[in-house]
Amino acid sequence: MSSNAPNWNRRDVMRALPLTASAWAFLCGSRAVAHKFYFSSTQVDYNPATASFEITIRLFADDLELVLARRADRKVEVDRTPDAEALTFAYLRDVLRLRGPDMREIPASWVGMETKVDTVYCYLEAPAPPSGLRNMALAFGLFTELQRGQVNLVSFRDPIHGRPRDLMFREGDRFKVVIFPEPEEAPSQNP
Amino acid sequence: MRSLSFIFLLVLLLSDSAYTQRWKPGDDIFRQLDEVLPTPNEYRTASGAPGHRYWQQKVDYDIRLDLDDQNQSIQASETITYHNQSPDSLNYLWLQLDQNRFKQDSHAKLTQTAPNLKSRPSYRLMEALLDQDFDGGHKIQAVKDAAGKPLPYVIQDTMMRIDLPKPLTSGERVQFSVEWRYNIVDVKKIGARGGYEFFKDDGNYIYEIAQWFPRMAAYTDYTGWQHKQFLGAGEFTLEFGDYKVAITVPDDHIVGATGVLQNPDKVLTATQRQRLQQAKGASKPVLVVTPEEAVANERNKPAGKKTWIFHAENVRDFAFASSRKFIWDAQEHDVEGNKVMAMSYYPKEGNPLWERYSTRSIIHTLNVYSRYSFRYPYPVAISVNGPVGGMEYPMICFNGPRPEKDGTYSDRTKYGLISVIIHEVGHNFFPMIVNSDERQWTWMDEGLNTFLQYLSEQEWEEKYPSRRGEPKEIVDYMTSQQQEPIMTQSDSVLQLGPNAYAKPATALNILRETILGRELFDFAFREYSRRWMFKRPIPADFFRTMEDASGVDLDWFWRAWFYTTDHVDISLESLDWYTIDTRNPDVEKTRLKQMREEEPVTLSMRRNQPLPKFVEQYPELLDFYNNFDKLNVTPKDREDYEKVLRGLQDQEKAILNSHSNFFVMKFKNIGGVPMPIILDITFTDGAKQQLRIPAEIWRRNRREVSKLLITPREIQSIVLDPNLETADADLNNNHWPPKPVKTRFQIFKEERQKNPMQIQQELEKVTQQ
Repeated sequence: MSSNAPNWNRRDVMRALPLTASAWAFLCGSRAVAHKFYFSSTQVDYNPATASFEITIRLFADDLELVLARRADRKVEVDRTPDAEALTFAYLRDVLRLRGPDMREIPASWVGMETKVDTVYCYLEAPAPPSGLRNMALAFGLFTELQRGQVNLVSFRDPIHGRPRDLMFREGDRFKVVIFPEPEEAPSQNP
Repeated sequence: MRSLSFIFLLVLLLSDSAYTQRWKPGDDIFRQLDEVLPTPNEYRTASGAPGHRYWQQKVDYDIRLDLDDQNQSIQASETITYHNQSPDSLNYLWLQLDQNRFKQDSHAKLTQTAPNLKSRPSYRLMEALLDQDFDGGHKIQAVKDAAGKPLPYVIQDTMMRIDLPKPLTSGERVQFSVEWRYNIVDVKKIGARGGYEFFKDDGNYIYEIAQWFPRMAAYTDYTGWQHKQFLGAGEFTLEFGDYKVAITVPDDHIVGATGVLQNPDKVLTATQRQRLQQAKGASKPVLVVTPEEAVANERNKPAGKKTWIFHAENVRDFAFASSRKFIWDAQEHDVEGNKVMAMSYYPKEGNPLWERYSTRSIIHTLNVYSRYSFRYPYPVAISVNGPVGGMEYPMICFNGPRPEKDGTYSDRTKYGLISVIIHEVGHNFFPMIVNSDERQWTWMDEGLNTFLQYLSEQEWEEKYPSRRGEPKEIVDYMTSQQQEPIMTQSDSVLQLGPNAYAKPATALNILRETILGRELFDFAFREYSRRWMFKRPIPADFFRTMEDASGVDLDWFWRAWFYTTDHVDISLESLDWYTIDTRNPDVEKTRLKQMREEEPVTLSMRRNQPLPKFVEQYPELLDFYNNFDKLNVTPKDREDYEKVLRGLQDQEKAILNSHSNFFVMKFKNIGGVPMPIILDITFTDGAKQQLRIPAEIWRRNRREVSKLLITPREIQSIVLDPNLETADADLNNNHWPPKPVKTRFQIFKEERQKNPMQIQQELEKVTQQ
């Protein structure tokens, strides 16, 4: 999805629901393991040695399966469906977007994923400019189409420029710029 | 001290890390909590126990209801007997109407912010949004006093105030009745803690009915009436009392409920009663309604109605489930002398998971929780499968996980089911019996319960995949910046799961394993549970009891873990090595010579060395200084040393010759939370030592401390927090000599299965679809 895609109006939204009645039935039942809250946490590390951002996304497996099933119009199980990785990457490419200081989007490449019972870890990598996380912007709409109240937390590590503030994404949020704390409020690990 | 003053400490290795200190608000983490906690009084003591004049209200309910299976609604009436055991006179009574949350104009609905319509919404979301017609909420039809005279009442969102004709004085009781009806919520459409599920394959419903009757709000010594509106997240707190509930349902339904069935002769067949009898003393669950019978029931049409009567004593709420689809199994279990009927109700869609794991999970939970808190006091414990993912009520809980249609299931579903049953059955202890206020403090029951859930899971099987409990699992949340302290009101918490479940559970686990040890902790935790069973604690009662019973001042721990959003990150900054100057020139000068020889030869020195030297050409230029070495031992040196020795006591001579190494380790507290410093030290001779320093080492300086280790050995390496027991967020600064620790990302990348080309090929296929 390119950044200049138009905002959808309501008619487009309705057209964007390609599910048939039969698909609806299993989607309804597929939310087997319920949790009472909707949360993901992501770590973005700037690695100056490889000039890359190393991205680790930790999310709930059942949320992911629900969203992938809807997009693929078939049942998806993260640990059994053969192309689950590719589907996941395609989805994450749509919802996780990085923008460099020059306002250009930086595409992330896929490293892989692993499932630990109900938690999925997704790993992506993106080329980093020498300025590291400075003036980078992120948009992360993970699962906001599923759940009101979905909270996506992104933390950063940048060994060169200090630790930026976390970013929190909720429904409706768009690009947010990575902010480094002012020197006077700098954390004590950078004397 | 005087005799030691002449000892010179030689710095052999020094890497000082001077940095400026600035005072920050959290720096007084060891300030006592008393100014934050409520002042102790005769209701709640300074030790954390109920005071000698502790009181709470009592409410008894007599309820009749008719469940309409045709249009999914409930028509009901109740007689409430309210015992005013408070010292106060009450002019009015507040009741909770939790179903009003589903009214179109409820605070819960009106305060919902807009969803994101810029991305593709789910059917689930769209259905919820478009469902503008559901006529939810309690329809109050009558409120009457004991004589049948109407009582004035006012409804304020999810609360109803009844005005009494004359004040209800202390020690008096009042009886009144309420009639109401409401439409049952479709849980699959609107997320709710109770409601129905429709099975279109067989045309039947499962009802899980909860938060369904007008319930007396809690009236307490610390907050008066608990009239926080029900917004959805803060569950509830209620008063204890006795319930008699008559549930009228289609005559082919099976009903499971809080309490004990009073009329089995009327509602159960002779076979079912006989099977229930067999369940007493059974070593595994006995089917009361078999899968085959349940499937036959699904095709039935009811011939009429039946009324199931339940009685429950000393409970704070009442819930039930009803369906013709239910398979029902039961196994009586002796919990420390209390014979409890553990029972499960589930549709065929729940098998094979439910028949295998549900009732067994109940029994396991009762065993473990009873050991850590108090003996489970109720006669039944029930787990029901239906539309609700996981929700607890006294003696009964609703749990969602089911296998696939083909009967297979993932490990996630299996462990998800066992975990959610442990969790929801565990809620009988917290907050159904230890009656904390969840509308105010979610953590008081969810945190304590998640902690015991973790202990129970680890006793279910080895390496059970618990999601919460291990300190390292909480690091992500604790290092995040957008969070609130645990001590935040339930509906205001941004991330309820990590905040109110995982973090307090982890904190208690750390308190148990690392701060107090199992013996002290388990005694104190049991003491808290027993002090407050069938009573209503507030956070201070928990904090105070844990200190009172363990004999350990934990104010710093509560302050850091429950009142701040700081995290744990302690770094091992440096290691300085000192030895004692023996003053013996033969020892010291030899050592200094050795050091000089070990100094590196620079590149220029090495290249200049073979060059012919001028003084070699003209040896007459050589003088005293060309042969003088200040590190050669002279008779004068030895004489001076003898003189020193003569002035020393034997004891002092021994100190000079003790051959001890003095290691000074410097630590910084980067994260803010003071924690014990746990060190694995390896010496050059292969010996190992673990050093556990209590967190009080930080009491005078929360940000930087040092520790002296005196040993005849030399240190080879040090690891800080070697067993990952403190939730230390950054392991990169936990080693001497420094050692980088790979991130999860880097470890995965090294071990990944598929190469990028394979992924790209798959991706192209997916994108083309």
